Amino acid sequence: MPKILFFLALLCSLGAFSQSWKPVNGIKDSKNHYTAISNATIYVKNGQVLQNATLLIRRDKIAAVGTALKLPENTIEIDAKGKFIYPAFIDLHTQYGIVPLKVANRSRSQQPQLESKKESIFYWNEAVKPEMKAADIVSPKKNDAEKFRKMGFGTVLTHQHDGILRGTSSLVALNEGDDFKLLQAESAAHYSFNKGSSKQTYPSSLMGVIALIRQVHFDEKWYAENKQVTQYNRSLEAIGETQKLPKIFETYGTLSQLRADKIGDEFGFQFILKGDGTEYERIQDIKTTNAALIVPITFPKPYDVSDPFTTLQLPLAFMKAWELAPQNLRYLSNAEIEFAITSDGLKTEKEFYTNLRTAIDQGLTRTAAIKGLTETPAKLIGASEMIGTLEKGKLANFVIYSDTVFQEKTKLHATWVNGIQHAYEPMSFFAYAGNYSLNINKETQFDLTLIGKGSAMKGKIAKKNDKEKVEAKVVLENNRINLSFTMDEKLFRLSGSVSDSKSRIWSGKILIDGVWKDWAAIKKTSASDEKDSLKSDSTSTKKDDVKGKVFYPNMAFGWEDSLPIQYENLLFRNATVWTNEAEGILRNHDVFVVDGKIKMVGYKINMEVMFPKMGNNFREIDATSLHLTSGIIDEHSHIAIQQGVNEFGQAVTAEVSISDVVNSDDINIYRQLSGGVTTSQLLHGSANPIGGQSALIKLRWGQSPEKMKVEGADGFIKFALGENVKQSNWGDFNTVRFPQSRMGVEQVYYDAFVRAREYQADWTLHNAKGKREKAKSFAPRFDLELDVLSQILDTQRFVTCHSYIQSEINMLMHLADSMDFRINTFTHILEGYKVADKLKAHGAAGSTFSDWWAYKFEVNDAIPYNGAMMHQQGVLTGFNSDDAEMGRRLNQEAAKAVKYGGVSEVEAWKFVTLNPAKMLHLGDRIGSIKEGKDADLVLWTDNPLSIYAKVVTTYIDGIAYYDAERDAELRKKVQTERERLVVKMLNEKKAGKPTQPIKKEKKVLYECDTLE
Amino acid sequence: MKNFIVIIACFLSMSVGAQTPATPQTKSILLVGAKAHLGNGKVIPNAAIGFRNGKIDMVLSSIDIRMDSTKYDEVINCKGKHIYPGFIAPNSRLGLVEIGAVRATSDQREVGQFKPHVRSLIAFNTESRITSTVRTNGVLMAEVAPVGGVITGTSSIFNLDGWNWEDAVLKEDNGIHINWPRIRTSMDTDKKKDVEWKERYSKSVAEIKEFFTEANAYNKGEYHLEKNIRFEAMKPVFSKKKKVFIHADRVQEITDAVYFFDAYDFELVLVGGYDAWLLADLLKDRSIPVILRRVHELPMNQDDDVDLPYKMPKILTDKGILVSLENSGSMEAMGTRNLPFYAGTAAAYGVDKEAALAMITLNTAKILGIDALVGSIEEGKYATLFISEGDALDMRGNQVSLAFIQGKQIELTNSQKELYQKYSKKYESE
Repeated sequence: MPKILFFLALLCSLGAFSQSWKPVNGIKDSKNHYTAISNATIYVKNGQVLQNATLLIRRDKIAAVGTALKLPENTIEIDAKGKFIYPAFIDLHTQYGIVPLKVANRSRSQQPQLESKKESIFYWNEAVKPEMKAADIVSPKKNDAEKFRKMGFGTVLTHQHDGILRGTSSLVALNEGDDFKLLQAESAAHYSFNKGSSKQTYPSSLMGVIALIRQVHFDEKWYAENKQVTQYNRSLEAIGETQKLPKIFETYGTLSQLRADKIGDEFGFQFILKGDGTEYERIQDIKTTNAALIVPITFPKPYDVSDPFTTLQLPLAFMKAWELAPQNLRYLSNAEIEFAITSDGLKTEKEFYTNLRTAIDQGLTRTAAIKGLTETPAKLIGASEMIGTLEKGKLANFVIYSDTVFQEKTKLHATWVNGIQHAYEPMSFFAYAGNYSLNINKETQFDLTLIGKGSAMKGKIAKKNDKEKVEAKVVLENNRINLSFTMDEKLFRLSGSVSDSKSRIWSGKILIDGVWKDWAAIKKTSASDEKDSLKSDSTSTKKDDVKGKVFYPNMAFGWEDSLPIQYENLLFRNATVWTNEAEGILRNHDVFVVDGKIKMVGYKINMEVMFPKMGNNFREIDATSLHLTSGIIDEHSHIAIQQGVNEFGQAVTAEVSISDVVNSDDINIYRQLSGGVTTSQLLHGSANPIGGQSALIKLRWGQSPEKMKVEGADGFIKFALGENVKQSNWGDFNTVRFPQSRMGVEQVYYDAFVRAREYQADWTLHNAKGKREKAKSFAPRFDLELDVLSQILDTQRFVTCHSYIQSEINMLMHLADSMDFRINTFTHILEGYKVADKLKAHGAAGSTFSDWWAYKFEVNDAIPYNGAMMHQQGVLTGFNSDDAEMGRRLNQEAAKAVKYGGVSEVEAWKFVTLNPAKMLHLGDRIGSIKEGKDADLVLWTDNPLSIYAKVVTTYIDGIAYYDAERDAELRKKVQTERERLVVKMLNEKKAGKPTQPIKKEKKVLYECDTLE
Repeated sequence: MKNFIVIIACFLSMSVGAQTPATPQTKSILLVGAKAHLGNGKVIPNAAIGFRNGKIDMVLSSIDIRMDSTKYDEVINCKGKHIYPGFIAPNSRLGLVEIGAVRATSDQREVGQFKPHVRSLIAFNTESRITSTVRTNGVLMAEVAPVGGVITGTSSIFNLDGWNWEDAVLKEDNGIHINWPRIRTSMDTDKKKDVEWKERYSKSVAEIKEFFTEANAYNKGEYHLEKNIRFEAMKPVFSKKKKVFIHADRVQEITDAVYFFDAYDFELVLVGGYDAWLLADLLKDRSIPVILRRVHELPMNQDDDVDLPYKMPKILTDKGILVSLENSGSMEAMGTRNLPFYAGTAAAYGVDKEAALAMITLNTAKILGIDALVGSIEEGKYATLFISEGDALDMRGNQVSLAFIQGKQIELTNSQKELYQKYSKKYESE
């Protein structure tokens, strides 16, 4: 009975094959035979390995797999004794058979391209091309597949790596020419944060890319619902068509992965993340995304650290990345994150195997590696029915290795793709190495020894029972042998082939003195031949290899292993307390902190009386002769921002947000903590009249971006006026974007808010409709930019405006008044002193520089008395940095309010603490030392306004994120860790491994005007 | 004291406009009662400092000596205040550039690579609005140097007061400035670029070598068929009348420069010197002083101690190097007024306060070769000094209430104070 079913199944699968619509030149060449590959160890799938088994295939499919199979009569049998068969690998990230496009680089000497050059039926942005289909363009050339097949791949997913929405990929079997086959025309939809070949200015920044991805999806949703009334759009149409496909997002670095996943969460997608191999950096955060990953196994080469001085420029971060990269797969595997392995970035098959071996040496199990190359990728693109295992009915895609895969000695014999064999190393089923007895013409006897393998075989020969051996040249080709040696000054040249079924006897001819004579050799003993069993899948980590730990963040001054998330109750004794409250400065006072909040400020707090239940559950800090203040708040900062502080692609970019691109791994976070900064508003730059939304973060060094953000804070947005927005200093080619004058700036605002008003009206009208009515009518299109502008009109979002000249400040207040909203803060505002009364009347705050001026024409009238004057006129005044260096000396900047204009020290201190807290609507949570407020505190050695004051400890939520003593330890730690890695890299160099030149940190210090 | 108040009141009523240069000292002046920081490491808690005809003729402690104040035409009581020698800003751009972003206001950079003949002297703008905001913080002198190319040009040292550059100059053509070529370090892993950069560096160094060899040969000869003004400008360098300021920061660059100049007998000064602390012996052996790059700066390497720039003055001083502080970099001209605070930070990070003061006074004067004239409050030197209400190295105390350049009492208003007063009136009248 089973036999009948078996044949029925075969017949069914044949049906599909007979249907060919291609005319045949000549006669039909049907191939109905079976091929059996026998006596092998077959890795059917994870958890099922068959010893001494047979794989039976017919045409492109697996007909059967098992031990003791009964083979049909029309079977061609291949003996694979001692060989190992695995499912062929699957690579999900390739550009196979597709011509890559070049990334566009606009030079400054070209006029910007503001609009798309594509036809109007496509989306308005050139980087959005979901309509792109790999199936339409994939056209592999001869040999394109060879590289992949030699690595053991049988199928690849291919798409054009270009643009933000990149369109769909195809699953391709790695056969060329007539055998080229798409297994799936559309397998997945692809995304990235790179705009690629698009020359359009927008988006110019990462946050712009993110906003664009959001807007496209809003547009698609609206389009799908309103197709009847709107113009046909090929791009949006394509997104709809491919909605059900898996979505793969190409990312660079863990932060980028968290961002991609967050976008997915917003729209209800679960992206599969194409990573870059640095997932170990924040493995727990990656785990919580629930995303599957596609990871490369490209490992950085060791740096050439032979020059100790140049090595100073090489950051520890890079050294650690070098050391940890090969451990990445182990981290993923241990964290039970589902991953597929890609060969992306590898140039040769040698690299592929070497790197996998290295990963296995570093603790990745072989099983996990195999799974990541077979079953997982198949599953991720919904192709498990076809590929990924060697079960019956699946495609005959498999690889034959001489031994357990991923061992140094293991050789690839052949990669079979859709039943077609691509042979590499001959499957000589005989280990030639050994000792032979050779005779020529049955007369002369020799002892022959063959050592080595395959083409690298070497021979030695001696007369029988003679100890003097001579070299014999051996050329082995398939089953043929050529042997030559010189003995007694006579050259012997023998050629022959294996002449028995067990491959133990060679025989052939030799020409001696013009006469062809016979020769033969019989193997006496084999070379010892050990093989690892497939089961012995041990993690063979070298013991002497110190692995190095991940730091959080993974760089100098990062936390080792874990983060300080434990609150500690703190009692500061006998400090000079700058309360920023009515009490002013309290000498010899105590401050008690519980659970990250200030519990009490008092004189000689008697703990037993006041907090009897507390027991010893607190740490006392002697603050005698020290000053305790609330943490510094920087209203205007550009640290910790990734890939662009300005979205300068358009004049109005309310849709973009810095909170999408917070970089938790910026060393300047730590540096600013050392200067007492605890909270920063990370602002968009000043390239546009309406810039992007800001991020409010606490400098929780080591945490991920999301955990740095101030919980429940109000939303802010950056506006800008003057020379930057009118592009005065952008060079002679930037003269086409509106506005180019202060006159135009006003109109940009006017237009934007008029549009926002209309947008609001549309929605109000729509929302007022009854259910039935709504169903009949069309909803307005959701527009991120206008939505954010509406929030401003609704006092749901607040404006911080970059400004210098009084005329423009005046203008914006008038404009806001006319639209019935208020400018929350004018930043820079260097001519604020000229309009302090107007600022006061409008209710705007002023966050200014202490003493900057003369860098541009519009700051020619800037004066250092500005802060004092605004303050004296009752304007809420602060000093900000806008500069990573000054950010860590804001206490000194506050002192300049005393120096220039005679503000009292108590009030001057508020310029960098309480006042910015109020500007950020956080005045009730931070900015002063008051019961119930966050314990964001700084302990200073001296009056904090003094140049001689240094930070002892900076606390955020009662946790010491910077501590001078700990810093001293960290410096040592940095040194020892560097030295350890330098030695390790020097050893690699000594061992002859290729190195790469020292590279230094890419410094990204943003200011308002940074265009990038 | 009364006098003093009158003077201050006088200044407050000044009208808007550039500050009028002071007239030469006619009356002799005696400052009594202040804490005098002499700039040479010494402090006189209750000092009597007298000067006439532009030069200091008495530096005493008024506790120790009963003095005859009638010898001076004017006695100013400075009790509770501090006296400092005028601060000196080396390697500055004061008077060469007015508004950073406006090209027309910039005279700091000339075309070409080797320009010893190009002189800052004649471009120095005594009407600069920036200068007057700098001297109100105690910076009374500046070495003004061109930028750009390899030899950027010849610098001169100015008093920050005068009708014109002839009037203001303290030392003409004091030195040439060399930007030692930089070895770029890759930010990518491009091996080819790395090699390319190294080649470019070697080429640039070879060009310097060639220039000096030719200049040397030229200046050994007496007569020239054809004059080479470039090489002519090098003559004072070979005769040690001009110093050679080498601008370099990294180990290899400093080392290469120092060894290169071993072949010549020049008066060398290292400017920048971020890595100088790693090469202290090399510099010390040759008595090369360092004009240290901006103290208020971020560390150059990610892994550096977060306060490395702050404590650099201490490290170098401990290694026996003569250190002076400067302010080149972004917003360099207008930021020169913060020079005193760099010395303050040096003190906060371990340098003795008076030694820190020397880094912007006497050390600088020595390094620039003007210590016989200025740099400290000593008899025989110019009376270029000022009175501050408090510690001038700290923002909390830096309030310059009286300042003299070569005995001339200078105006302490500036365009910024004037705008302050102008707009204060706006609010007062409301």
